[in-house]
Amino acid sequence: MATGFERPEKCFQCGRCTSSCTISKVLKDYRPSRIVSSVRLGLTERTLNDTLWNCARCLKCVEYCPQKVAPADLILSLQFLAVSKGLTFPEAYEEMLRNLSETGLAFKQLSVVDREFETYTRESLNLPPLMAEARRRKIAEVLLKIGKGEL
Amino acid sequence: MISVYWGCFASTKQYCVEVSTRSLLENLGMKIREVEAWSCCGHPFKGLNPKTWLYLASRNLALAGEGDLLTVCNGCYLSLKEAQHLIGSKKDVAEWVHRTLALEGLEYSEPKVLNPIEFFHDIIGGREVVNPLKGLRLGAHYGCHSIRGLAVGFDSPTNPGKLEDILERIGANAVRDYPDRLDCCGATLMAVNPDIGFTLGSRKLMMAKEAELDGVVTPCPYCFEMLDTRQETLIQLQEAPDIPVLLLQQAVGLALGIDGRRLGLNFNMSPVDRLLKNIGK
Amino acid sequence: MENRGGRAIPSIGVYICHCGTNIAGVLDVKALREHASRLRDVSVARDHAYMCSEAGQELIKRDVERRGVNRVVIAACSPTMHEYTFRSVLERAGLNPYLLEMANVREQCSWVHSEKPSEATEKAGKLIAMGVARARLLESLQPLKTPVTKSAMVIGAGITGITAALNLANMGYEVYLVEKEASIGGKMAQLDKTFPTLDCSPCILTPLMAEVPSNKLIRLLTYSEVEGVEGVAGSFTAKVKVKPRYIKSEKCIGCGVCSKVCPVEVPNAFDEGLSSRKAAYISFPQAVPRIPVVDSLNCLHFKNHQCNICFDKCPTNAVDFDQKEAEVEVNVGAVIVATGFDQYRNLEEYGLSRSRNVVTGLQLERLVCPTGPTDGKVARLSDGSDLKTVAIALCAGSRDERHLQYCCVVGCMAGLKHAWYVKSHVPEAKVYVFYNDLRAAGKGYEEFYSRLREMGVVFVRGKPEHVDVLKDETLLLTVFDQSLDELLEIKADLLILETGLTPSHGLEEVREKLRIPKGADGFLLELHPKLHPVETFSEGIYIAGAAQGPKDIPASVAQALAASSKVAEKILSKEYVTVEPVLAEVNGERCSGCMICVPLCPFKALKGIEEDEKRRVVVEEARCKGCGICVASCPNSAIELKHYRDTQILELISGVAL
Repeated sequence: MATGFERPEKCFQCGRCTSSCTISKVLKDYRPSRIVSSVRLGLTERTLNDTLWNCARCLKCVEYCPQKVAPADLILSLQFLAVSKGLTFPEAYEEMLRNLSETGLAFKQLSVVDREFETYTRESLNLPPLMAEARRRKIAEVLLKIGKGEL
Repeated sequence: MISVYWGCFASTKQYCVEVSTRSLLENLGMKIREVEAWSCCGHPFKGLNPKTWLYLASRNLALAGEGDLLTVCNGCYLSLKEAQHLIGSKKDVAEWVHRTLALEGLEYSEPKVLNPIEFFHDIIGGREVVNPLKGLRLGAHYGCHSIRGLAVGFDSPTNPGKLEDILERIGANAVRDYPDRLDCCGATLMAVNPDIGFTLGSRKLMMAKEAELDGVVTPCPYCFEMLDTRQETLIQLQEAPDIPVLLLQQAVGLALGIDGRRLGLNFNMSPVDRLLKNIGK
Repeated sequence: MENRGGRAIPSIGVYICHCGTNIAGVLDVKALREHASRLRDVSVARDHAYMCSEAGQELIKRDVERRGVNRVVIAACSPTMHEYTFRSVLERAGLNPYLLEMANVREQCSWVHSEKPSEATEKAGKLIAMGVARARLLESLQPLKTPVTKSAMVIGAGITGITAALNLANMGYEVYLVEKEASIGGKMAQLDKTFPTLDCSPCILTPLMAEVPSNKLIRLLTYSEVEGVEGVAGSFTAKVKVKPRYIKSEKCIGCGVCSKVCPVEVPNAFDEGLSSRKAAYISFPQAVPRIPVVDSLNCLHFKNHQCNICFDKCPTNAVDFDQKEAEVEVNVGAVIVATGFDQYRNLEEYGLSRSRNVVTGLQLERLVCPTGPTDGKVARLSDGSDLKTVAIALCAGSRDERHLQYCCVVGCMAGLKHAWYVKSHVPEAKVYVFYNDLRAAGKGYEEFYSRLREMGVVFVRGKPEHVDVLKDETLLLTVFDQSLDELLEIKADLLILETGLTPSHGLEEVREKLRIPKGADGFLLELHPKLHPVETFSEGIYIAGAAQGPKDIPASVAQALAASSKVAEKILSKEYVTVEPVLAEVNGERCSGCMICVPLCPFKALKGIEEDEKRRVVVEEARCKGCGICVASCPNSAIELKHYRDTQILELISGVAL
């Protein structure tokens, strides 16, 4: 089930995606144009490594590409492909996935210290409580099914 | 009555987002429809597993029902808009969504997903600005996802102006164009590659300083985390300048006369006192 | 035209074309020939490799002449391909050309059912039977002859329109040359030089411009717009609105005093907004006609009725604030549309309208022009300081699905020319050209590109991202250079954009009035992209130049010559034009006079008349285009299209069952 709108075949190698890429400015080896060309030339395998996770998903390449190639969408599809093949998995996401199953949110609730060094929680700020247990369990069930490929 | 989708980050850490939004909506006479079952919008998981994302995004759309849905995070805004666009254009995707939501007993629906900029831009029209932010040279940091992406569209992606319109409306001297205004703050990189993230965040503050801005206003809690909450880190590690950073809701709230405490201004880590002094608050 | 065969008992000849293997490769043509020969009223059935060839045509001709064939059915390609060809064959054989029926067994059969040959053959058999059924009911028709008015109208007086008008006038025909602006000359008048020879543009254009008013056969209507065109090829009637200049042309001596004394200043469109002009103005020094215009939208007199300065100062009393719009009606035999192009400007991402130092190609032309806003000095527009680095971005808005899909054709060459301008005006400046592809396809073009590289212009293959405007309006361009595999950051004092081109803003109105379809890119649609580039689907209406699609000057001139040649060949050199007789016909007895059809006709060809105290509708055949709208609208089925009568169509359909 394709969820992105990438069209690597439309690329005519103007390089604008890399010209505008947030990460290409700071990482010498990161080039969305190279990723698109690799796929276009049937060399997808060489793109499936950790560097894919450097994409900031700033969507500048998607916005400025004159042929609506949507390199960032292609990168998402490659991330999924890489994960499915067991080639790469960013550590940071492991905790986020765990939180997701436990709370339905990607992060755990924190107590925060303000500028005056006072500590606050949701409760102390009188903010309404978050999701109930029953609902969390239901979500976790569905997420598990998806993770196992059953859906 | 308006539904507000808070998203993970505001709900678990950036409390000033919820605090300021609630105060502002109350001041504007709007009641919030509380939805206890909101979950993560799925945005961070799109690459890991698109179905995980799609399920999470569509379940929140289902919970929102019809009517207006105000998001308070750029990432959530993009996630929900992209899900709507995808479900609307690919039949097999729509079918999968219906089936999967049914497992939770939910039915897909299509609320009008709003970005805080577009929401406040339209709302603020007739309101009385009791405390205009006079003399403040403020610049906008839109953040990536309120202006770019195939599914977004309330302002020009290459030369947006609605956030500056709001800043002008609330009495500030809005700087409409400065280098790298539309660039990414690097917040998403904090999870995977913090060094890069901080380099990008510092760059944004440096460009703001070069443009001689008194402050930067942003609608997104992620951008706020990078530019405000982590500003000290950026200063220490990357020699970034110190610049006051405000959430959009905070800037608007101040102009409408709401007390700083009720806007969560105590949570800002950047030197906002400088700004508050200037407008005599 | 021969009448023979129209009323005789049908003796049908069926000819099945192999079309090489296009048809015979799928259909069993021998079986089809057998099948056809057994149909009622078919006296001869043949098949041949290429019916449209001379040999194939001979077969038909001989059967008509010697075997008494008086109806011809050809099972072959689409009628749009060869109906005309085969009609001529019938004519040459002495048969009325409308006694031809074509059964399309190629586009509608063999080409689309190639994997099902036996079913396709069966379908072809039915198509042939249907053709034979209709052929029995075909009638001889005489085409209409409309007298030709020996004059033409050319809309648009840039290089294309001027060339076409002069060409027609030199052939001895009268020409009405209609131009929307106050002066002729178009975009070429704004250029400094032309690529690749770097000819001075006004030097080659102005002699042609000067010929126009001195040519006795050209009636020049400037500051004028076409309001409507009616009629048919050979006899069009056009209404032209002549806007008031508020200057009496017969009194004006072109001294320019009115302009000098006028107190109002507005942006000058001729200088692309880089300078200002007065409300009373002459567009440019070499304007033709050299008569000023008082711009009533900005003129103070029209706002407050108090200012009369130009009126007072004019030495010949030529200012006339009471001048009215005039309407001129002209009768012409043909029309050429040559309305040119405009620049696409929705380019904020490249810095346009965000910094004064970002200009379009046309703006640069004005800057380098010695009679331009800066007397030919090219410097930073923000502060007038010297240029150290200049950047030129090609494809700004073209080949971009977010802006214009199509290529602007001239941008690359214009970019090279502009690089040359800068290098020759400011030799110490560093000049960069940022390109995606560089298209130098034309005579001398590649050599020009080579020359520019030899001059030291730096070409970078890469498209810059969103242009940043620094505090002093210096521009910062970030470009990925593929050869270095590096992101370059280049600070430029001036950025020149080679913008996309769109049809002229006046085109849409003209197009609708003349009913010329447009392509997906918005430009006028030609009859055939390869073989009929200057003709349209309407006889008598021709197109030329950038209005048909972006192109350079030699191509525009070539099209102007082609269009005028076509006008002479098809219309003006003839005494009359024949109109296809596929026209509406009203059955007077069935017509109830309800008049439902009359307002529906887009060509105003239907008229209600009173006859014997009964009202009924008649068709003005000269206007009818055979579109069939009235036929469909009649509640009484009182209108039919000749050659597509109800009986003929019903018989065609019944042929399926045979």
